Amino acid sequence: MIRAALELGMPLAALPPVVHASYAMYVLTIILLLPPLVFILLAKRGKELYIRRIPGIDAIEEAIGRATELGRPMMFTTGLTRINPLLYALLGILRYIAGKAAAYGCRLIVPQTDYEVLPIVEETTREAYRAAGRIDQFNPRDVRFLSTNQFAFASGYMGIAHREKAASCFLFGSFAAESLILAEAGQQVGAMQVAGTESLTQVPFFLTSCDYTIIGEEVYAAGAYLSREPTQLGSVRGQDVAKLVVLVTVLIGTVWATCLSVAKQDYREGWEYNSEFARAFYKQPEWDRLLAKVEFKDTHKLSPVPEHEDLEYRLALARKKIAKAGRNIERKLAQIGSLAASEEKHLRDRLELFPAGDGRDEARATADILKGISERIGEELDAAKKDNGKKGKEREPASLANLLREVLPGIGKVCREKARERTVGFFTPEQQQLRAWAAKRGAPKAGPAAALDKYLAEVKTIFGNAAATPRQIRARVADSRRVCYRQYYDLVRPQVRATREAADESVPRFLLRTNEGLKKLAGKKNEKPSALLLDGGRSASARGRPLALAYEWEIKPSGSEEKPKKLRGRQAAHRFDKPGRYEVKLTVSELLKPTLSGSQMIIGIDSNDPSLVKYDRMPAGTELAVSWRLPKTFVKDVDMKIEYDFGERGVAGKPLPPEVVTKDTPAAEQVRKHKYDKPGYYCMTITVSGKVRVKSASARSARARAVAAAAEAATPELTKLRGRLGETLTELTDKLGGLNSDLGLLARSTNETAGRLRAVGQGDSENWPDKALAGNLMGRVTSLAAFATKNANLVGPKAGAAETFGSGNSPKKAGAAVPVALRATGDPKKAEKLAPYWKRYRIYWSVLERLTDSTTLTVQIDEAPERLIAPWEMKLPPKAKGGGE
Amino acid sequence: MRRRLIALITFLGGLYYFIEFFLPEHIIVGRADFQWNLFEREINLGIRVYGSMALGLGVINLLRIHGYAILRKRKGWPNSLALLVAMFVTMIVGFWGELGGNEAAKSCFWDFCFRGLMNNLGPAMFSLLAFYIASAAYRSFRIQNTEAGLMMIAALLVMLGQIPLGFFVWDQLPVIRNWMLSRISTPAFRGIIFGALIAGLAMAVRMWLSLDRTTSRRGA
Repeated sequence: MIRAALELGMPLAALPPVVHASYAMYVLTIILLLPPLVFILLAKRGKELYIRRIPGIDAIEEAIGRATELGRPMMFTTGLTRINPLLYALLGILRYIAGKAAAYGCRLIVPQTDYEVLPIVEETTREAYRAAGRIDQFNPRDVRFLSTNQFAFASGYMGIAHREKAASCFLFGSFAAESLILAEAGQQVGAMQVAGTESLTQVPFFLTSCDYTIIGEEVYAAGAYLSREPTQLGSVRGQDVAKLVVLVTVLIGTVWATCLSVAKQDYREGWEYNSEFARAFYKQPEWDRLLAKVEFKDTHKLSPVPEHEDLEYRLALARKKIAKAGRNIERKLAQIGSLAASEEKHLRDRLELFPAGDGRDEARATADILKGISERIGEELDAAKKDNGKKGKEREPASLANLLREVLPGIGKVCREKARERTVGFFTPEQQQLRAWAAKRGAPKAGPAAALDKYLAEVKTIFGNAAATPRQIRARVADSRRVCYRQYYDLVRPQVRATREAADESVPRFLLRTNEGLKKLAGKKNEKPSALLLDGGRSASARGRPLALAYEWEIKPSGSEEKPKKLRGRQAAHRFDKPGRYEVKLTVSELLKPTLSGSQMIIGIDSNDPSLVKYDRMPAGTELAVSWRLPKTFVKDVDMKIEYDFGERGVAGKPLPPEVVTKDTPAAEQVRKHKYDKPGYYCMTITVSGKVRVKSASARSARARAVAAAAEAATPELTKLRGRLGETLTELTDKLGGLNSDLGLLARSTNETAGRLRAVGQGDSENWPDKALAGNLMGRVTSLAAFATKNANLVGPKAGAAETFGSGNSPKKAGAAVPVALRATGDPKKAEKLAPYWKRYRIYWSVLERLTDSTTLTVQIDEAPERLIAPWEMKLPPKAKGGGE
Repeated sequence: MRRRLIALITFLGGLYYFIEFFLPEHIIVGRADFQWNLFEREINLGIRVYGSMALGLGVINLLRIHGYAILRKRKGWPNSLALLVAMFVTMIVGFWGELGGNEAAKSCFWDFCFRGLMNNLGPAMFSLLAFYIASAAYRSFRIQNTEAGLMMIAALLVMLGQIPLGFFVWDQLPVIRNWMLSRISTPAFRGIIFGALIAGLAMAVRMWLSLDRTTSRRGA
């Protein structure tokens, strides 16, 4: 889309950074899609729709009749059509023709060029024969796959047309240069031909060689016209209405543009080739005409990301983690609740089985406890669900405590303490950041830092108040947080907005932005964006017109002599690791003539592997260095020869002798360099010849032995590393142990309940009339206890994880490579043999004129370089007198 | 049931691309960005892999048609034999080169069969166009009615405006040619493109929502 837009001369600045729907696209899509959908509905409800006659489609019937009368076969091809909407439109036509062929007993041959389309076409043809009740006449060999190659397909088609003496040919679909070959083949055998294509460049060929030609959208309408199916008819009618809307828009636009040009007296634009403006333009030196004029302001100061944004980012990540943990616990609690409820029901149903008196009372009390547990859990889960509905899927940090707090007695206090610690600990870095931020900007104490202080104090008070219910705590925490956020949003946002607006107003032609997607690409979800995306895409010519440009970026610290880092491409991402001043040099090159401006770019030729080098364009005057390492199977002392023929001709057009590199050539000269000064097309040939040493299996095992020895040598390092890992994991496990112990309390308490149940059951089980029932009940009680114990480790690694990792220094693991070494035997030198080798590479070049301009800008990185949002500016020179685009 | 399942899968597949194109570039979840097009590469790869399975069907089709011709000794069966032999030789050498790592064999075959044979046969076929264009032009330039006459005049002006001789005859011919191409031909082409695009869009929606019976197996 971007390329097409460029060719139409649209300014690049008007394009989106990626191919993506704009707001105009939303509106346009609705306008274009609504009429077809409405008319499809109307047609389905029985409204009769009229479609005008299309002579080409009427001729299909005539062509079928002709083939039947002559007793010769028909041919139908979809050309180069792949699986796309057009193909499905063609299937409707094919079904009609195949149905008629089946009914009249006429043979239909369907040559195919695409193997993906082949089964679809075959199935459609078969269905048409089946629908006509003549499936016995269907010959699968008449649906033929010829070749995916365009001209091989054309020659195959010609052969079939001549051999079978086709009476009628139907050419429907996408076609390219083979269209005339196909159409002329039918013409030569005197076939009646009907063609239909949306490939506009092929329409003239079909017009001259075929009897009837269906153009563009008529191909889509043909299926509807033939099948008379309401859905298709409605769609065709709806398309017409949509086209009418487009037509009206075009008319309004035309009138508007005309009026505007008359009002501005700029109506000469249409006569670009002989207007005064054009003449003045082409009188300029070519250098001035073509080059992009890119100027930067001297210094650009990048400020670190506003603290509140960074804070928000961290908050969002933390919230997501907490929400995930909260959901997990909710799920587990729901399971416990449902288990408790079912146990309670089970127990109550069998109360009479318990002996009357203490035993039955105990059982009833246990059932009550179970009921209390399930109700309490249900209540908390409902509350959590309501909260989730209000605030997305966030979970307050304290909500973990709230959920667990009163589920069983004795746990609430511990959990509240934990939640308080976590909440306060969680907000401490924010508090510090906000304080630093406020101090830096001289914000009053009433600012966000003070608000957060107040909020944290309130949190502490709330948690200190044992009488408060979980819901009260939750509500107050949420309120105070909302107040806190609102305060610093009110303070910070206007400042940020003002800064951005000021930056936008100055010169908004060139933008640098953080690459938000990089961290995703790196696959590290929690890592902050760390690279700047340098974007030179809005560079424009002196006329303000986008050109075919190549961009090269060179980045180095200001004033240093070190080699700059080079990046290529319209957009280049770079990470500034340290604070300081950097020089960023942007070189913009014009490659093609303006009439051919497109999206051609230089592709770096620095690969050592010639198989990666492809047909490419490069600018004149570029020094091309070619070399590559020998393949792995080559050994140094074997005679090998590399001949470079750069394809350039010397005096009197004679080819220059190839430059030869052998093993005796000094290493520095093995890289051959060549400079193409003259624009033109070249074919570079590289020939590698000689002998190659082929290693046998025993040589490979010798290599394995070497690898094993290396692994053995590295064992102490590995052991050390594993030890460190183990320590780290132990530390982590300790930290998580606190939370696990809380959950352990829950498990213990549930175990106690289970124990009580078990005691009741065991005490009286001897007296129970139904032993099987007693056993069943006991089994269920035991499973409840096991379930609770299992859930004691909801958070963190399972117990013993650290030991598992920590024991990595055991000799068994560290010496894993040793058995390999023991197996490896044999002498590698004896296991090689020589084999002839010869290979030739041809690389095609198109050398173009290169016009280049560059500019330098300075980047100031203040601090905290990990995430930057920068108003980055580029200034365009004043437009050339006489207008421009 | 089966038809509904197909419609559901079609809808879900289309929905991904619809959302990917129409929703804002980044959907903010908290402050962590989520990009829909992250999965595009994997999905496209999957589609390609899925489509390449059909290649086997193409080979089966060739074997069925030409194997039948060879077995029944039909007219022209040596041609079918040559086709199948060429196909299998290409396949074997290809596998041998790739799996066996024999660079010499691979390179030799590549240079001989593809660069030496295929690359030349294609242009040879293409060159037929030169003769066909002449014969087609002869047929269409016969002035049989008013439309053909207009077409002849337009073609003459464009051809003369294109070549240096036309410029020597009258220096305004290139301007006329340019005017005809940019003011008559291009708008007409664009109009056709508009219509075809809208029709394609409507067709795509019909397929996406499975409104069209053409897309179902037992349609019509």
